[in-house]
Parts: sequence; structure tokens; C-alpha cells
Amino acid sequence: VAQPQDGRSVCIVVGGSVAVIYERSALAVGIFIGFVLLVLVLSVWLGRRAKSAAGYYAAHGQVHWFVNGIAFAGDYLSAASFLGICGMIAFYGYDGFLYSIGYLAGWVVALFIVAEPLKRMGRFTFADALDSRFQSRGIKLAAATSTLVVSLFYLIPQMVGAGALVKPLLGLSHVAGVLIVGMVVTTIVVTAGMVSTTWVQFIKGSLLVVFCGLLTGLILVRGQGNSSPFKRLPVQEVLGRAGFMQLEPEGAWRGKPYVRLRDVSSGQIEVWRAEDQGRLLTETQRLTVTAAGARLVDGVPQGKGPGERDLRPVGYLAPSPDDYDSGGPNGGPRTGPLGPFDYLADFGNRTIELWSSERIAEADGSTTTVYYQRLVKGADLLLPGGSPTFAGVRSSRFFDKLDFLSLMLALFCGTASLPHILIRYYTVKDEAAVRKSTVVGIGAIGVFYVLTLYLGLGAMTSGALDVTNNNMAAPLLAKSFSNVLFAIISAIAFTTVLGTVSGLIIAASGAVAHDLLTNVMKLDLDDHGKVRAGKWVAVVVGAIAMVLGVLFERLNVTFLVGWAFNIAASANLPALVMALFWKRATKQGITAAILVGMVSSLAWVLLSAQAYRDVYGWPGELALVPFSQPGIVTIPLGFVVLVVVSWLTTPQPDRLPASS
Amino acid sequence: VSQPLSTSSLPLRLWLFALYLALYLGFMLLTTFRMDVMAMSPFGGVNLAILYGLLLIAAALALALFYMWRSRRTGAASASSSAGASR
Repeated sequence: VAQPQDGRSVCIVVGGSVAVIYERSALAVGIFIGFVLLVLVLSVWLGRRAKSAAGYYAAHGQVHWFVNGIAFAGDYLSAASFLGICGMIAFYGYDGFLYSIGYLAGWVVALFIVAEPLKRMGRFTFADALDSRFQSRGIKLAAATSTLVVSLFYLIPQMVGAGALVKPLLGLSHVAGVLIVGMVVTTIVVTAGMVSTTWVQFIKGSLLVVFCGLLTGLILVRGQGNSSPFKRLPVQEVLGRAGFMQLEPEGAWRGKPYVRLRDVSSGQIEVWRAEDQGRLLTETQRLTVTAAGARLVDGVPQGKGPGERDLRPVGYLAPSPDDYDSGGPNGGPRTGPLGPFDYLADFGNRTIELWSSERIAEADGSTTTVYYQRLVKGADLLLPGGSPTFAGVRSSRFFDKLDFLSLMLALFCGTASLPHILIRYYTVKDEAAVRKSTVVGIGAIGVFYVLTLYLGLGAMTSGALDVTNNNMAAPLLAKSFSNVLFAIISAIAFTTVLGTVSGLIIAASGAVAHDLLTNVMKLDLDDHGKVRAGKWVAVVVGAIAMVLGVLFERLNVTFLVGWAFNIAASANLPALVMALFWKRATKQGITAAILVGMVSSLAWVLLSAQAYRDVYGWPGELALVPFSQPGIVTIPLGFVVLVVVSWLTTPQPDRLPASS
Repeated sequence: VSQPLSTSSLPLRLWLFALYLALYLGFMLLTTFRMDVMAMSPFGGVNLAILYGLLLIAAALALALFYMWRSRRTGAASASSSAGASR
């Protein structure tokens, strides 16, 4: 697992070699099994009602608008939203909230631009709507391909996330987590298609919003104020202790700001980090993996037993940098319960002890990861640009700023282009229901995203964070209140994966069985044949998802969701908007826009610094494109290609369904 | 001839969209070029970055609710006219 040095650590070591040891929670396992059983029984029971293609792909268009609205939330709020955003806020502050803002803003495009025409013109998939004017196999082929590409990019982080979650939460292996999710989801989709998918998403969406609301309430009632057990001492005080011998910096330690002391009686080594021009020494935690694979924490075998040690939880307030050597009280005053705005205002006046890490390859073949404290002002954490992802916004380089704008644009345009979201417009009966369910969706998702801010900041000072894994911030925050809540939030986090993955699989199943087999290859399938084909495709896609989830175990995958938004927005949005609103658009124009948007954005992300660094392990400076997020270039490119190609080709007589 | 773009609700939809787009662009540009403004706290000790972010979330919901309310008021008329057009 590549972990760049010093603050640049792109965080999340998904399923990697470094982790704190968690105690398995029988309650979490129980709640999760209970939920899975409930969902499976519901699916089988609902399966009796979904025998037709209209039932399998679109739940007969009979879903109540309110249920559909909450299911939108269940579909949309993926593990990346819940765990990723909370974790990002807990480790870097405001930047995770930028995702919240962008993800929600995308729904405005969905509601005001695409929702109603899409409903009017399509039947099961968004390729239907795109193509309703043209009856072109080229459009269906292009749209189905982009659906598959986007869905796969979205699936990988969900599946890897499932594996990464199951290890600490349920005590199973990564492979087991991926297989459980894959099989449960495939069963859900195969038994009752969109009908059961809708209910799984409804249940998951409700649980997520309700319990995150509860957690936020607890955070506000607890208020702010704790004190750090980690030492920050004047240098003389540390060096002046009897019985310690300072080691010479050697090998990879040379030139690094660390002071290593050997306890003469026990032989144990302490590592302190020098700060403030060497006036202060701060306590570190370190995890060593020896050449033989043994894991040591601060030089002692990792474990919970006698003579063993584990990495300690972090997440504390610090004294302000101005007075930390004057021996003031750690953390500052404790508040009582705070109102939502008072909590934020109080946070801005604190100083927080955050943790970064640095890897050191020792001469004997072992690798040590040193985790060290760094103090950051609360006010600074409440501004954008604190994380590696969005650091560019504080940079003076133009391309770095462009990277931020590009990602925010992709988030804005991406939501209304995500196939697994768009198919939800076909599960309700008419345009009024489409409108109402989107409004309910925006309400539920909006409330959730406001809560992520409190969950993230609350986790940051919960004193319960795992220094090695920021994905675990939300469940560990729950643990700081009670083990029961930890079990519930863990189980919900896991079911979060189920809801989103089932939506993705059914979108992919529709793209292959409905668009490709039936409409492009013109296979003559009767209604039952279409359902059977859809179910087989769901099984195959489920199997592919499981394989990818295992293959990409060691990859930091959270950024893949951002890529999926970029690709979806570049490939689908120009085609969607112009097919719905521009009379002069031709089928060649639409097809070309989808293909060019998809290929250009895909090529761009694969050649970006982010891919170089995080996927191939090459230096990011060698990347062939100037910034990582393609949206700001490739979305307009899609529009340009569509307009130019449409002008160069002859339009066919308009064949509008229904309204013509 | 009724096009998908010429239903009665389109102008309102586009107006609301344009309004939100302006808000969103304002947020992006302030964040990119005027972080000093985002760091100010106009009231209550909470900075503008947070307030503006919360406003964007609240505005999305408010505009959506307003649109739903307006569509319901005019909905009966447009529903019957579009049903008439398709028959």
C-alpha cells in the first residue's frame, strides 16, 4: 500500500497491511445477520410480484413516491458517502463537506433538467429516453456501454469498501466480506429485481438518516472538550530523564525530525518527534512490520494481551500552539450541551490534535510507520483545502485550482447522469410522482449531508479514532457513545453497501439485457425471456463485482467514485440534455458525444497524476495531463462534439413518442 | 406541436435552475479565489464557508419544494392538456 509521506497521505488504507486490532462485536454480527435475513425474506416474498419485465426492471412503475424518494437516498448514499465523507471530515476538516455540497447540488440538475422529460420519454433505462426520438442502434449501444463503464467504476469502491468494513466490524476476512455482499445482493436482484431493490434501498435510506440524526443529537448533547493523553513536552524534560540513552540517527532515520531514546533497563526504544525548532518533543505511535511479517507497536508485539500493545485511539483537542510549552491545561474548557451553530462556533476556537504518518524503511528489512501529532487550528479546519484532494484550492498554481473547479463541476453534473439513479424515475407512475419523489430524495439526502458535517467534526474530537483508517471514523464515533450504537452503525454501514450495489447491478442488468440484447442485437425475447436474461446478467455482473472487489483489495479506491462522476457527466450529460432539448440533434451527434465523452474522460483519469500515484505507484509529476479531474474539459467537449457532428449530419424527421 | 421542451413548467424549471447555478458558481469562485472572504464570520461565530455550504443544501430543498408547490397548483391544467395532446 503506497502511503505518501507527511500529510500527503491520501488516507484510507483499504484492507491494507496496517490496522488496529478490533474486537469482534457479536451484537454487530447479530444485527447485520438480522437485516440480511429480513431483506432476503422480503425479496423472496416480493419476488412473486415481479414476474414480468416491467416488474423486474421498473417495479411496474407502482412504487409510491415517498418510498421512491427515500429509496433515492438509499441508492445514492453509498459507503463512499457515509464512511468516506465522515472520515475525510474527521481527518481533514471541511473538505469532506465539499463532497456533500457537490453531491447534493447534482440533484438540482436532476430535478429541474432531466427528471420529467426522462420519465416521459423512457421505459426501463435511460438509453430508452435518449433514443426515443431516433430509434438508433448506435445510440443504444453507446448508452449501454457508458452505463456499464460508469457502473463498474462505481461498483469497485463499493465492493472493496465491503471487504474493508467486514474485517474490523464483523471479524471476517476481506474476501469473505466481498463474497457475502456479492451473494446477498445478487440474490436480492435475482429474486425480485427492482421491487426488492427499492425496498432494500428504502429501509437502508431510512436507517441511515435516522441513526445519523441520533448520533448528531448525541454529539451536540455531549458538547465539546476532552484532553489528550499524548505528551508534548519541552525537550529538556524528555532528554533529562535518567535511564535513557539517545540513539544516533542512522539509515532512513537520518535527516528526519525524530529523537530516538533507548530505555537502558528494558531495551525498548521510544521515538519522539521534534517540533517548534526543536524546542518541543511530541509523543509518536509507531507500527513496525518486520521482514518476517511480525507486527510490533512501539517495539512490542501488537495485541491486546499482557506484554502486548496496540495503537491507541486518537481524536483530541490540543492546547493552542501559542501556549503549549507554558504547561496550560490540555484541551481547554469543557462545554455543556451545545446548539448546532454554537457547536461550530466553539469548534472554530479550538485547536485540534490531528495525526499524520510517515513511512521509514529500516536497514534490517522492516518497515516502520510513524504516526505523529500535528496541531491545527479549528478555524483552519473549517475552511476548504486542508486535505490532499482539495489542497489545490489553496495553491497559487492555476491548474491546481482548476482541478478543484473541475471536480465540483463533475459532482454537479454527475448525479443526473448516473444510470443507477436515472432508472429510479421509471419506478413511479407519472411525472408528478417523479417530482415529488425527487423532492423527498433531496430532503433526505440534504439532511444527511448536513449531518455528515457534525458526524465528521464530532468524530475528530471523539477520542476514539483509528489512526490507521479514516474509513472507520463514523462507526468509531458511535463507539465513543456506546457499544450498542457501534454495533448498529456498523451494521448500517454494511447494509449501505447492499443498497447501492443492488442499484448498480440492476442498472447494469438493464443495460445489457434490455438495451444490448433486445434492442441492439435484436434478440427476439418474450417478456419472460427478458426477465430471465436480466437475471442471468445480474448473476454475471455480481460475479464480476466480486472478482473486482477481491482484485482491488489493496488499492485506495475512494477516488474511483469521483472518477465515476466525471465519466458519467462527460459521457451522458451532453447527450441527455441535448436529446431532450435540442431539436437539431441527430443520432450521429448523440452517439459521438457519448463515445467521445466516455473515452476522453476515461483516458484522462487513467493518465492523471492521481492514477499514477495511487494506482500504478509511479511519481505523479510524470502524468500526461495537467490536472486529475477531467470534467471541466470533457463535459464541454461532449457538448461541442454533439453540436458539430449534428450540424454535419442530416436530421431525420422527428419522431417524438406520446406528445407528437 | 408539443415538444418535451415546451411544456408549461419549463420556464419556471429553468429559472430555478439558473438561480441555483448562480449560487453554486458563487460558492466555487469564492472558494477558489477569495478564501479570505470565506474565512469571515458574518454572525454567530460561524464562518462563511460553512454558512454558504449549509445555504446551498437548504436552497436545493427550498427551490425543490417551491417547484413542487407551483407544479401542484398548475398541475391539473398542464396534466390534462398533455393528456389531451397525447390522445
